[in-house]
Amino acid sequence: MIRLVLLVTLAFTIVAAGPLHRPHNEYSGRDASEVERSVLHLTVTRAVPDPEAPWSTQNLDVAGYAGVVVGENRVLTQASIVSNAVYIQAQKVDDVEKIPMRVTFADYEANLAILSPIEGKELTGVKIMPIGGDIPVGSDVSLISIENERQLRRVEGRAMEVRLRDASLGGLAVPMYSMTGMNRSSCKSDPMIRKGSLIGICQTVAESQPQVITSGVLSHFINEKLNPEGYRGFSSLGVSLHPVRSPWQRKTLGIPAGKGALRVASVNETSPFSDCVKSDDVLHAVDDIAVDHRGFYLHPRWGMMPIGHYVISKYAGDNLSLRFSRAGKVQTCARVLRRYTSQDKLVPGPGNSSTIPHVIFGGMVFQELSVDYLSTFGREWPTKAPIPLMFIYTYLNDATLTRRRLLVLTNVLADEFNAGYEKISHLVLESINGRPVASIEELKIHLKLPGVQRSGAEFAQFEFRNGAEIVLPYQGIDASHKRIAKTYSISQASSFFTR
Amino acid sequence: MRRLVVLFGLSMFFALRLEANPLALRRSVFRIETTGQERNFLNPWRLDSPEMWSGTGFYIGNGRILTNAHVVANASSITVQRDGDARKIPAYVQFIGHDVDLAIIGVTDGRYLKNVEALSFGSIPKLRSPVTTVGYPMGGDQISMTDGVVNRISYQTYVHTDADMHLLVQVDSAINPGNSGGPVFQGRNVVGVAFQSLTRAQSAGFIIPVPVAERFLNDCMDGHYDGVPHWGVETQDLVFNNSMAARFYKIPQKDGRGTLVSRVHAWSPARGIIRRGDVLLSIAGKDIGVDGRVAFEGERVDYEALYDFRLSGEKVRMEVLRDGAILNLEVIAGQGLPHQYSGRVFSRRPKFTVFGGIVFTALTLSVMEVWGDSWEKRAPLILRNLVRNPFDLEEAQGRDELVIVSDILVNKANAFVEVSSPALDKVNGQKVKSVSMLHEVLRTAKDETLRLDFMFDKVPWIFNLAELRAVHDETNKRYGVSPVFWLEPYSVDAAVTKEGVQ
Repeated sequence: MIRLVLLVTLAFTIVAAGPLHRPHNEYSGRDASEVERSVLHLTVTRAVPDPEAPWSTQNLDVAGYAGVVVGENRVLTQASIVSNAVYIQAQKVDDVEKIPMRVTFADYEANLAILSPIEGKELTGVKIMPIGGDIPVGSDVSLISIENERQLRRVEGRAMEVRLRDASLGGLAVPMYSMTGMNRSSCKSDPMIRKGSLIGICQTVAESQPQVITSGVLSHFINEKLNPEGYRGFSSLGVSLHPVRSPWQRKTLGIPAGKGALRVASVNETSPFSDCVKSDDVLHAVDDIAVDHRGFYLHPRWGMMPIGHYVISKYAGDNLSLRFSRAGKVQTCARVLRRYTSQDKLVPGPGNSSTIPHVIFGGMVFQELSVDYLSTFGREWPTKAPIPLMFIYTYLNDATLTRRRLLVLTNVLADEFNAGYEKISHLVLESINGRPVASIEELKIHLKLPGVQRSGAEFAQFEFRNGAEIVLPYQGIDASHKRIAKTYSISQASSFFTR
Repeated sequence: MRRLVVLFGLSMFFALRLEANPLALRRSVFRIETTGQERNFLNPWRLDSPEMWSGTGFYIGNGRILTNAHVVANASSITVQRDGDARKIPAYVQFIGHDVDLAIIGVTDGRYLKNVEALSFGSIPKLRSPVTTVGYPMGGDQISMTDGVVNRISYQTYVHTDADMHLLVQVDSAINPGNSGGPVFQGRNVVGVAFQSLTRAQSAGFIIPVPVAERFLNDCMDGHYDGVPHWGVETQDLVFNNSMAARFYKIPQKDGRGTLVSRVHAWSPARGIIRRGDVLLSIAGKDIGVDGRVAFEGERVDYEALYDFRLSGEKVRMEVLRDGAILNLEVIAGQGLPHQYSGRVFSRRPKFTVFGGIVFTALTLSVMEVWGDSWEKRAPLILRNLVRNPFDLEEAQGRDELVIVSDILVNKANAFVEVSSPALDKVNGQKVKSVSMLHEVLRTAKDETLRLDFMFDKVPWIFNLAELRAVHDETNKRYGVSPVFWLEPYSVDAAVTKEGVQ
């Protein structure tokens, strides 16, 4: 008992001493109080769906991150940290009060989210941090992180270069500063500031260097959020472009020496340009902005940047024109840009869905292949997930108009009904009863259609990409579902196939 | 009564041990020392630094010593030394079967083997029966004997090629480096050849059982080793544990037999005879259970083990259920596998051709090991998928080999290229089916342009053919490439022969 009292006392002492104890590298100076009022500590409790048991969630995950006050009752942070959040609290570093928050808007491709207090609550005593403009490469900046919920820590560094990097596993590439002098192992949505303005949010770490989303992207996101006509988001061409490095290829494609151009390697079926641009066309300019031989254009602040950066700066719904040549003849094609969404990929990126689309048929669990599913193979999922599935994600990820998703038999919930098949897992489904399937909804529809009649019974016949086949009868399936629901504690009736 | 049984058991045990004493046969067991050079699969014209390693072999008569293939693979020099003899005698490879990890070596001085007793083979040892491993494991130069017990008889991967599966026997005696190729005795008879062990388990060794060794010896009798025939039929086991699945495939009730055919590869000798959806009921007169296994020497082993025992050209009887009717079919065992990229190769050199500074070679497991032991994490995903699942990708089919770019010897004509996907798909629009085919196309092409397309990559390499040809000789000279191509089949082995190093 004495020991317990001592421990409790000690713990209280440490917590109570927090605000008074300021380490030497703590943020200090004239701006300190303003920064302390703009950078909040977010405590996020997440209940992430469990792709291995898609009818339930994984263990609750509680973690702390940073958020920046960017408007009245508006806090900016990363979308990935608040996806599937069941409870979010915001707290000033010098305050004990925690304000319950909710996600008012998120773009999971850009990996940005706006949080606001729940109804009836307000953020008081905070200061809105202005969003600065894009800074020149080489500028000195500060990265702010929150330690122990109560201390702001500032690390000085320099923005060394700007690169297009994927903002999330959804595959949208946005400009990011690569920082030097700030060795880190991880980012927790830390804001980067300069002269009291927000100029970036740390997105990830590459080779120990923070990679920070630029303020242009932040402004794009916030301005769009405020757009009365609705959020249009970020866009992409849906066209794969590559520099023509071979002098001989440049000659055969008719690209004059010294002139810039990009070869069209492929055009996605879902691209707005799919009807006017095709492989081996030679792109010369985007919106009359010429590209150089590497595919770069002159950015007013950062110098030469990939033309993809220009496309990212456009809004979905904007017009964009491509000037290209085909067989030596120059043409122009203008189209309205569509919003980029990883849901257009065959293997969609992470999102905020509270449930994973799935269906259980006689114990066989079918899901749509997704980054969420692949990432269940742990931190090293790119090398731990089954090679054939990773290969599809990496090399064959373009959805087509007829094939939007891939279905995977992820596992089999063993039951007498599916005896003999219980060891099967991670197989890509090709067809059910001879009909190709491209989504969970389609699978449900096909399963409801008449099955294969054989030996006086009706069967569902599943065929997989590797040649494997599973047949299960329709008769007795409801009884098997009752057993499986009880055995595996699956309360959602909607998980199971019903006719 | 109980006492009698115990005594009887003990007497049997001692009788077996006394008769067994393999020390009496130690003069038939040889220490083998090999010096060799690993092939360089990145720059295939090079050989790595010479290394020395050792193993064990035993005399089987007619001037032949049996050992493991991996003891003498890539050997440029082999010596054998008999127990109790100070002399080391030069030896050479007569036959080598990498697929079964066995080799027959001979000695240059035939007198050395005079008066050496040829060891005779027994049969497959029973579970829990004692065995004695004899050899020259690390830790000393003297002969060593280790007693153990047979734990398991199964059908598993032979790690020498890491692509072939055969029958093997697991014993609980340690098999250490140097033991490889040594005899495993039961009584006076050899019941296996020590060859591999589990690195993560103590005292878990594996031996090649007699039927596999005898098949190897029979295969060599015509003066040429053909190899274990390829099967190329994939099955789904245990399906017919499900009574409704059995009903779907019209399997007679309580038959208890049958494994479902899920895929028959284009190169399979069973192609056109067995189909996807067939149910295999028996092989060579032995029932195939729903587990895909047959009864063999009192155990259950994968049915493919019986196919493995066939020599090329021999017929294999199969009983197959198709659409409810039982068919009696015959498959002629043969070599059909069109490519080697799933396993390690031990040829004199990897197949390759260098053209204009671009190094092309065939994808094999040996190539993957350029990325080290952890290649399954570090190698490009496209190559990992091609080497591990070569039959799952349509793009990989219809080729004798998968050709990849293994290196770029930079020159002014190729300086622009960046390797993204190293797996070559087409050359000037023609599907690349082998290194030899590519070499011929590159040698004879008359087009102005050379276009290389790669699998799963939409960025071709485009060259002026004349420019590449112009820099070809100078590039090879600068980078020391000699020879500039090697197209011999993999069956032309690297190991030293009677005529010397090749």
